[in-house]
Amino acid sequence: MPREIVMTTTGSDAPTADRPAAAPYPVDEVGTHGPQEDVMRYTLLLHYPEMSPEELGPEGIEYGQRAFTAYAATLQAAGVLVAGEVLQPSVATTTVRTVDGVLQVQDGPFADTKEQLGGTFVIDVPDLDAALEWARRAPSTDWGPVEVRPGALHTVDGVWMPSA
Amino acid sequence: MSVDEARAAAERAARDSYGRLLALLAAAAGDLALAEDALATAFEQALRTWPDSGVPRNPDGWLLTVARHRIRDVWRSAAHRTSAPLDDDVVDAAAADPLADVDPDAVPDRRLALLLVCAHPAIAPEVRTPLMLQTVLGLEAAQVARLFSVPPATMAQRLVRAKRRIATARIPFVLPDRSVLVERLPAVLEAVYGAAAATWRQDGRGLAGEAQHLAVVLAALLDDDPEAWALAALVTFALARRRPGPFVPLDEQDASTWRGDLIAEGEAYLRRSERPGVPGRFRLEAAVQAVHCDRRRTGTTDWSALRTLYLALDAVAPSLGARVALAVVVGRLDGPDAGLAALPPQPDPAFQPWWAARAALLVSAGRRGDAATAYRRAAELADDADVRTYLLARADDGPPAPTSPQISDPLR
Repeated sequence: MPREIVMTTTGSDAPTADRPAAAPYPVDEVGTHGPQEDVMRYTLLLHYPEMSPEELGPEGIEYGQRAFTAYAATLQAAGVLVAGEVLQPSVATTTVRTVDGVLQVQDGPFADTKEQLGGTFVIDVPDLDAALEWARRAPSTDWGPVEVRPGALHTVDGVWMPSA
Repeated sequence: MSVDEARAAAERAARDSYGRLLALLAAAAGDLALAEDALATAFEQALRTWPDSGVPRNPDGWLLTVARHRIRDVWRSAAHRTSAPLDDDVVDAAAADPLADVDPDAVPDRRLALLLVCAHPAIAPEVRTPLMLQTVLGLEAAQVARLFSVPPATMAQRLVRAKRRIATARIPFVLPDRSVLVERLPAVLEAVYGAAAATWRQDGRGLAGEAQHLAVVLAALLDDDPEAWALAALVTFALARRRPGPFVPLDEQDASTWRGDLIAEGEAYLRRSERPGVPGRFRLEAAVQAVHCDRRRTGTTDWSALRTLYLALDAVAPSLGARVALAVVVGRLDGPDAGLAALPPQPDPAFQPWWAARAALLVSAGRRGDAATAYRRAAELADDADVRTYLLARADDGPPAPTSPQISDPLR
């Protein structure tokens, strides 16, 4: 069934801490989306402590590369991979935020924590159990937590579409 | 058919099938809150139309059909509000209704899948049991709040959030693989136990029987899980001793009125739970119940067996309730002073069974005045009116009661 018919713009709720007030679309959290379709989009957010190439050593780097290559290949072979990103270290991050009503550009990450967002995988799977199973297999689980977040909307050719 | 008859039929249907219908609707919709709303609509409509049209041959099927239409209407209107133009072909009934294939004459039992959704690791532990009690056994949010000593509004909010989470994160309504099933079992067992304890004193609603049925279904599905069978035994023994009317403590109950068929059933379940090695918490609690129920056959209570079992329970699953019960047993075997010494220090927050046990031990020790004070304190803490009445009567008793202290019994 086409995604359009399960879209809903009702039930818009107040902004929450983790969702900006100016969301591109009101998102109905209550779940009257309609009959479940075959897939639901989840983003796996991989957090882990940042280590320099020197700290990792050539073997560590090679191990990481192999693990991420194998993981992406497995997701691809399973037909669930939508997109994968491995990010540059947070020292390369620049953050744009409003400080005292003035929009400022600052160096550094949004939150200065031991574990930083290091990569993301976007997958289309039937349900949370399937998403959790893929998260369990992420190469970074030995080093840090993997957050599993259901998608609400995503763009297709610049147009917002529901992710479930 | 009169309004009363229609109401009675609806209440029967509610009692017998609420959890079953909700499990089925929620599994199809992936949305507990929507399924609850739809089912409520169906029950309302039944009460409105059955008095004129008569109770349908198959009330479950009737309720399911109405609820299903209601869900489809919600989906359809959501679609209409948001996407135009809408092609009618797209929203044909079959595509928009995953329940289209369900035979209303043979409603399948999906309650276990629903129990497992409620016990999913993505659901906060403290809300799992309340969620199960509300959805699977149909307890009202206010009842659940009382059971967990939480303000009703707080409990209602927790339940709403959990249901929202199930829909938004899309927790699947399925029976998971065996390994996952075993992992999630403790939370399910705990909820069924909680359901039995919560519903125990409710007369005439059949919920105690429902909790027992759930325990047995769960054990049968898992087949060889010792704690599941032990819980089935525990709840069945308690059901065997269940009697309506004023509160009568275990000691003073007439054992000949207990149901022999249910005791035999409980013993059969208990045998299925036997394994070499350290027994689990529910097996020990079921064994305690078995010892009490054996009075129906032997006319006496094996107090030293109870001491052994409560000591083991205190080692395997320490709890204030078990320690209070142990002190009562000690009082019985070694005298009231030993019992009072075995009682744990006065708990904070106050614990009703502690005060009741202390009161009874004080009576046995001949300290009437102190006993009356303790009975009054226990009565203040009792959330059951019948128990309160009993405790207050004891506080006003003249001569010491001929019986000995009460065993703390979660399933009175």
